[in-house]
Amino acid sequence: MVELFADAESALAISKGAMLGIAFAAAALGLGLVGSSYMKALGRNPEAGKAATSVVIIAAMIEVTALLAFLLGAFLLG
Amino acid sequence: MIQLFAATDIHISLKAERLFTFGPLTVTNSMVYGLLCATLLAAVMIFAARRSKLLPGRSRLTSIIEAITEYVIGVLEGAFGSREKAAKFAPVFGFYFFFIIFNNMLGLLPVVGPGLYSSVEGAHIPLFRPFTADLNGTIAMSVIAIIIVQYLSIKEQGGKKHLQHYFTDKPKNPINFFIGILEVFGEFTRMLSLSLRLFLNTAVGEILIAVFTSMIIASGRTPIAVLPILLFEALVAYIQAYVFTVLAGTYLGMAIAHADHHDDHQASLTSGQVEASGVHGG
Repeated sequence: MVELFADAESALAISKGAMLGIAFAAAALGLGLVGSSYMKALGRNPEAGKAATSVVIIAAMIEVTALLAFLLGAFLLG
Repeated sequence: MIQLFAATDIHISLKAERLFTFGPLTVTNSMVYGLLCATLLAAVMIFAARRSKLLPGRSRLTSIIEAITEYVIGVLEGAFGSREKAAKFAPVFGFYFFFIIFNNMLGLLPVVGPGLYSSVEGAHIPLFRPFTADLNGTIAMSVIAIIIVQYLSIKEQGGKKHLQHYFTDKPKNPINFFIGILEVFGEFTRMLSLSLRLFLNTAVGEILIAVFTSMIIASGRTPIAVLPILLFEALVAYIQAYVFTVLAGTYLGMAIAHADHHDDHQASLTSGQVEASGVHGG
């Protein structure tokens, strides 16, 4: 086993923090994109209100990736 | 032995904890809560169904349950494409909606989760835990949902057409065959994603509430500031019930609509409206 870091403990803490931060930031960006696209579509064409079901489902799918990262980073790793 | 708010320190656990053993069966706190919820829900629904009548003067509970059922049928209508089919399959998928929303909403009560404790072998274990915040429970629910979808699809259109949904009508073509195998594996992915989504949302919500409550209590204040988070979790509870129901319904709707669509295509072709079917058939 090759030791990559001199101080494994602090490296783990830093990488966990980075993992949670990146995952939450990316999920927030994704949710924002979904919401903004939906609002744009609704503004251009009020008929797009029918897509609300798909919007909720896509939002839930994005959310679950962030929650998986939270599960891994906060509980399962190290 | 049961205690109220026994521990002031924070109690976080991702798995359900053992309360007692009943023969070879380990009974966890989420199982106790799930059984309690299922019994309560069955009692409420049977009571409402008995009181249901056409004339005015019916009870308020019946009206509420009927309004929610109507809403679920309306939601499923989008997945199945017709109201008849939505009403036909509403008992199956409506059950999931009612059970999940009942579980999650009751799970927000202070006595569920780290509020009401029971002493097991010297350790304080929460007496109740939301059934949907236990991975065993949500995996069971999603596996049963997928099996029901398979069963209903076979019952609705026959085994041959059900297989055609995976392998199309030319399974000898190697591309179709491999895509079909991928589709079959997709069913397992669906099980995993349904269960993980529900579990993570509920469990993380419980942890969030516990962390905020303990933080506020540790600073010596009344935990009234946790109220917005509780309201947010109520929204999450509803959204998760909605998403589970709609996704399970969509899986069945996709399996069935394919065959129906195919039938429409064939019927319109035989009746000579080739142009019309060319528009709708793609």
